[in-house]
Amino acid sequence: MAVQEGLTAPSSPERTRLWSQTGILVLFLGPAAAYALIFLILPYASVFRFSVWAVENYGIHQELTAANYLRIAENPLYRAAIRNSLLVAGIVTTASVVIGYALAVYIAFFSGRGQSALFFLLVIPLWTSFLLRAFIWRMILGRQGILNSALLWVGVVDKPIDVLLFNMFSVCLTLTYVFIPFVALPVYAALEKIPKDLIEASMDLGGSAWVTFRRIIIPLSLPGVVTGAIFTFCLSFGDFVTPTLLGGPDVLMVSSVIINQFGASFDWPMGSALAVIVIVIVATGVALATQLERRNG
Amino acid sequence: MGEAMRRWGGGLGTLFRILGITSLLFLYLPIVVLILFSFSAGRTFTFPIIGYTTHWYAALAENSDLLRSLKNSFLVAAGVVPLTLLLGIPAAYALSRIPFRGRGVLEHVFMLPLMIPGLITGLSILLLLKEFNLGLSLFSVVLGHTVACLPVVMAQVTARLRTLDPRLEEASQDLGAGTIETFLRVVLPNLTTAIVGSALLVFILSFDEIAITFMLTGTENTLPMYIWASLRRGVSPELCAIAALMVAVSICLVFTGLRFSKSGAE
Amino acid sequence: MGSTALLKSSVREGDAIVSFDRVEKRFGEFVAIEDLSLDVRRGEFLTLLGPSGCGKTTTLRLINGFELPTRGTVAIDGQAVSDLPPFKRCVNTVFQSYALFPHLTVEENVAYGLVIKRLPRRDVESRVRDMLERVRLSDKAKRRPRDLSGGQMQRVALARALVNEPAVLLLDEPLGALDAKLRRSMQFELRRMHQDLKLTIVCVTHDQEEALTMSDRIAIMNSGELIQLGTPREVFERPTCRFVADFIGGCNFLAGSVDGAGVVKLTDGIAIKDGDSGPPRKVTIAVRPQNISLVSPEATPFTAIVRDVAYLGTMQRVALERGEVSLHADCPENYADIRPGGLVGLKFDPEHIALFEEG
Repeated sequence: MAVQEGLTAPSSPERTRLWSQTGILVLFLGPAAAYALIFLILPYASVFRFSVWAVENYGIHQELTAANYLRIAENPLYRAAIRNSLLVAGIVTTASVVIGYALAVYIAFFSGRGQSALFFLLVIPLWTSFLLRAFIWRMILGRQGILNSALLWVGVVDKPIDVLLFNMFSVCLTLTYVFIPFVALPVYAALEKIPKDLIEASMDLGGSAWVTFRRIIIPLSLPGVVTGAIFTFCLSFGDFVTPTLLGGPDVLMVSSVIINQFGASFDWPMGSALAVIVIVIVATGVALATQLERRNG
Repeated sequence: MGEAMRRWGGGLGTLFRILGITSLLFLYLPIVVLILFSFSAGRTFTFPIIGYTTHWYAALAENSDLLRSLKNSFLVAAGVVPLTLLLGIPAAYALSRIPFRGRGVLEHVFMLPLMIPGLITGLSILLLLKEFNLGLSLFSVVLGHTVACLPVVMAQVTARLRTLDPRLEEASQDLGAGTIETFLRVVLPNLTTAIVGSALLVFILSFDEIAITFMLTGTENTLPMYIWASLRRGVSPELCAIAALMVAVSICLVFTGLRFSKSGAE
Repeated sequence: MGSTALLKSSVREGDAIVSFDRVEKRFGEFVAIEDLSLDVRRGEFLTLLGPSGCGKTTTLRLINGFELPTRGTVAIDGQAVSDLPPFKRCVNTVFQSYALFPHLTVEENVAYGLVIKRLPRRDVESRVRDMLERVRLSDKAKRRPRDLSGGQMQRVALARALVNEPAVLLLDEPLGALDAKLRRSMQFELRRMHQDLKLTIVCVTHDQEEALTMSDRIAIMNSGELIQLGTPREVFERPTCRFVADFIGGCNFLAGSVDGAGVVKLTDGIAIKDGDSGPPRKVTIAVRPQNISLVSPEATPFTAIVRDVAYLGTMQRVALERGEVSLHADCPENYADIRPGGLVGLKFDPEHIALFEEG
C-alpha cells in the first residue's frame, strides 16, 4: 500500500506530507482492512482450502486432492442442483428485470404527483425481512392457502389446485417477488439521473415518446439494470430460504446441497467445493455483466 | 424529470401505467392479505374470513421464546451498527480521498459480501472459527453480520463523499486544520445524513439477516431464526402477527430514513 | 409528414413564419408571458433579450412545443400548432446545455433526427458528412461528446439541429457556456451560417453584446412582457423606455421636467435642451455614459464630483456624484484634470438625450 506519489522522488517537505498521509491511511483504513483480512479474506481462503481436502473415516484428511470436484462433475445429483440454481437464477433475474424496469419507468416518468409516495412504496420491501416476504407466498400458494380458498370461494375452481406450491414455479415466483425492488431501485436512480434536456432534445429532433424511450432512455438506464441484475442473479443463485420453504423435490438447489453437507452429511470439504463453484459462477456472472455495461458505456 | 415523457407519452404512457400499477399490486396485495389474516379469528388461511381478533398479537407478548429471540436480535444489531460505522466511515473516507497502489482491488474486496451469497460468507467464517477451535455464539453472529454490512456503510458514505466538494477539506486545511481535525470538523458533519441512513439500514439488515446467522449462531436464536424454526412446522396466525409488526417497523424506519435524508439535502 | 410539408411550402421572404397572437402563459399563479403578440419573419435573425426570468426562454419553448400557451395562439407558417407535440414541429433547437446524447458518437448524434425520419442510409450519411464538414468536425465524427471541448460540443449541437433543415432554428443561450474569445468568434460564425443557409433563427440571450452583434431584430422582454422590438440600431439609439435604455448599453438617469416653453430642465433648474413639443410634465432624462463629455467646471453650471476612475483600455470610466445621484461617464483621456475628489463639468449634445415619461 505504498502511497502513489511516493514513487517520484519527493523533496523533503513533501516527504513529511506523504509520511503523514501514509499515517492517516493506516489510521483510517487499517482497522477495516484488518477486519476484512481476518473475517473476509481468510474465511474465503479457508473455503478454497477445505475444498481440496477430503473426508476419510469421519475425519478431515488434510491432503491436496481434486476428489470433491471430480465427484461433483460425475454425480448427476450435484450437476442437477447447479443446473437448477442457474435456471432459477436466470428466470428470476429475467422476470425481475422486466417487471422492475417497468415499475421504475412508471414511477419515474408516468406517475405524476404521486411520485414521491410511490418511491416510498418501492423502498419499503427492501427494508422488509426477506424471510417474511418468502413466507407470505407459502401462506398464499398452499393447498389450503389463501389463493386456493379464494378461488374456491369465488367458484373459479371446484377443488384446490396442487401445482401452486413446492415446485420450481413457486420458487421462481417468490424470488421474483423478493427481487423486483432490487432492480427497480437502481433503475429508478439511473432514470432520475437522465437530464431532462436529453429527453427534450430527442423529441425536438422528431423522436416520439416511444422512439425516445428506445433510443435514449433504455441505453442510458442500462447501468441501473446491470446493477439490479447482478444483485438479483447473485442473491437468488445462492438463496436457501426460498427453496427450503417453497421448493419441492424437482428443485434441489445448490444451496440446499451445501447446507446438507455442512449438516447431516458432515462432509465439509464437499460443501466447500460446492461453495467454491458458487463463488466462481457468481464472479463470472458479475464479470460478464460489468463487461457488457462497459462495452455499452 | 420526465415532464415531456408524461405529457406526450401516449400509448407508451398507458402501457407503463398499466404495468406499473399491476406490479405495485403484485408487491403489496400479499402484504395486505398478510395483515388481514393476522387479525383473522380462524387458525387457517382460508377465505372467507369468519371473524376478527387481536388475540394473536396478545399471544405474542406471552411467548417467551419469541421475546428472547427478539432481545437477541436487538443485541446483535446493537453490536453490528456501531462496529460497521466505526470501521466503515473512516475506511470509506480514506478510499475516496487518498490515492495509493491497490486501492481499486481493495475497494472490490470490501464489496465481495454483497455479491457472494450470505450462506457462503457464513460458512466461510464458520470454517475459520472451526480452525481456531472457537465456538459459536451471538458474538460470532455479530462478527459475520459486520462483514456483510460493512460494504453497505462504505457504499453509502462513499456515495455521499462523491457529492461533497473536496475543496471544503482544502479550505479547512488552508485555515490551519490537520487531516484528522478536518475529518472531524468538516467531513463528518457533512456525512450526517449518510451515517444515519446507513445506521438504520444496517440495523434492519442485521435484524432481518438469516443466511449468515443460520451458519454462525450457537444455541441462541435471533428473531428470523425463531421464525425460520416455526415455519418448518408450518405457517400460523402468530407468525402472521409477527410479520405484520415487522412490516410496520420497516415502514417507520424507511419513513424516518427518507425524512432524514430529505431534510439533510436541503 | 406534416413537418416537411410545412418546410417546403413557398412563402415570400419577409412573411411571418412564427406568429404569436395575444399569447399568455401562466405556471399556476405565476405569469410567465403576458399578452405577447410577435411575428418572426422568414429569414431573419431575431433575438429575445432580457434578464433572467423575463419569459424569453418560455417564449422559445412555446415555439418548439415544450410549453403550450394558456391563452392565445402560436402559429408556425400560418398554421396554429397548439395540437402539435414537439416531435411533429418543423423547428429544431440548440439547447443551452447542448444536450448531446452521451451514449452516441458525434456522427450518431447528428444523424439522430434523420434516422428517426427513416431517411435512406445513404442520404443520412452524406448529409451528416456535409454538415460535419460545415462545422469543421469531420475528424471528430467517431468521438463521444465527453471527449469534446465546449466549443466543439456547441458545434455538434448546431449541426444536429441544422441537418434536419428546420423552418426555424431556435438557439437557447447558445454561447453562454463558452469563454469570451470563443464566444466572439462563434457570434460571427452563427451570423455567417444564417446568411449562407438562409436560415430563420430565434435566439434567446441575456447578453446585450451578443444580441447587438448577431441579430436582425431584437425583442427586449421584461417580466413576461415584450418591451420593445426593433433593429439593434433602433433599440440602442431610440429606446422607448428607461428599462431598455438601461439594459442595452447602460444609461444615466436624471429627474427633470419640461416647462410650458418646451425647455427641458433638471430638477435644480439647469436647462438641458429646448424645443420640446410636448405638454409640460415631469420626465426622466436619459443619457449614455459615452455621450457625456467632461469639461472644466467653469464651463458649465452642470457639475459633479469625481468618485473613482477606472481604466478600460480604449477609454476611462468615471464614476461621478451629483448630490444624491450617481452617474457614469466614459470618455477618452482628453480632459486631464480627472482625479477622485475633483470637480468636473458635464456636457452633452441635446441630440443624444432621451426623455421618458415619469412613472
